[in-house]
Amino acid sequence: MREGAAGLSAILDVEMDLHVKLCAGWGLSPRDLEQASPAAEMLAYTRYVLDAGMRGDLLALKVALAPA
Amino acid sequence: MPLRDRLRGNRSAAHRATGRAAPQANPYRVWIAEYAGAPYQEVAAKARAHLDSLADRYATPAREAELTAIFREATRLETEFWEMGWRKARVVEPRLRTARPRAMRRTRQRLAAHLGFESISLATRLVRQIGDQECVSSGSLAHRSWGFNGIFSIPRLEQEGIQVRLPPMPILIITEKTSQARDLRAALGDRFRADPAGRGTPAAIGRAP
Repeated sequence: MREGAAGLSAILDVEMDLHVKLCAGWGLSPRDLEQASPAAEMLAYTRYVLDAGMRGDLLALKVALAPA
Repeated sequence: MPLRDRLRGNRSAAHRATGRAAPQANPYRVWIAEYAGAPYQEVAAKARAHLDSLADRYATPAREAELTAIFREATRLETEFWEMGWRKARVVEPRLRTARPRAMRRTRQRLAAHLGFESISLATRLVRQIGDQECVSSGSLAHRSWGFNGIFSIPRLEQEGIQVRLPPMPILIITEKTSQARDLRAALGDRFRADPAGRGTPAAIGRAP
């Protein structure tokens, strides 16, 4: 759980923070980002990862996440 | 052999992409620096170690094909995810190459002098650096936030000697054709706006600094 929490924090507090800042430089507010409709490519990728986790075990989930 | 080494062949492209030195002009240098920096590298190292410890416990020779297939599929979909941006850029670029830089050069120089821009560039040269640039469309000039909403035709500006005053912006991009501006608009999203007078010319203007 701690490893999971650390990973989540790295994504939410570090990685996403940078993405939000970069987008602000391109004139996109956090609200714009939240309201953007998801692209088909994004849905395909994230749903595949979720699906791999649901079908398999933790190792299968982590392998699906490894290219990210 | 650790699982990560067996998967490494598939990861090499990503490593090449992030491992390249980031020149100062690269608009993504902040991004590259973040992923290459010590804090994020530590996160990545921990993730790799965790993956290896899971593999030690749960990976059997019988599962290798399954795990390889998952990794390959996730890599393909991740690649598709990143390809989105390039696909949009490719739609824009070939059409922009049809612009005639020579024919536009004199107009651009005179406009730059008129408007007080440091430089005016054709979009062909700037399409990949678009994050830091300011854009205007299409043989016409439009603006929205300094008292006049409208579109000027560049030939008409020159013909009639109209002086336009705009706040300084670092770079102004002019495309020769409306369709090119439309492509840029599609690629850049809301930094472009339609002509408020409804004359159908997509116009774009960047933020003032």
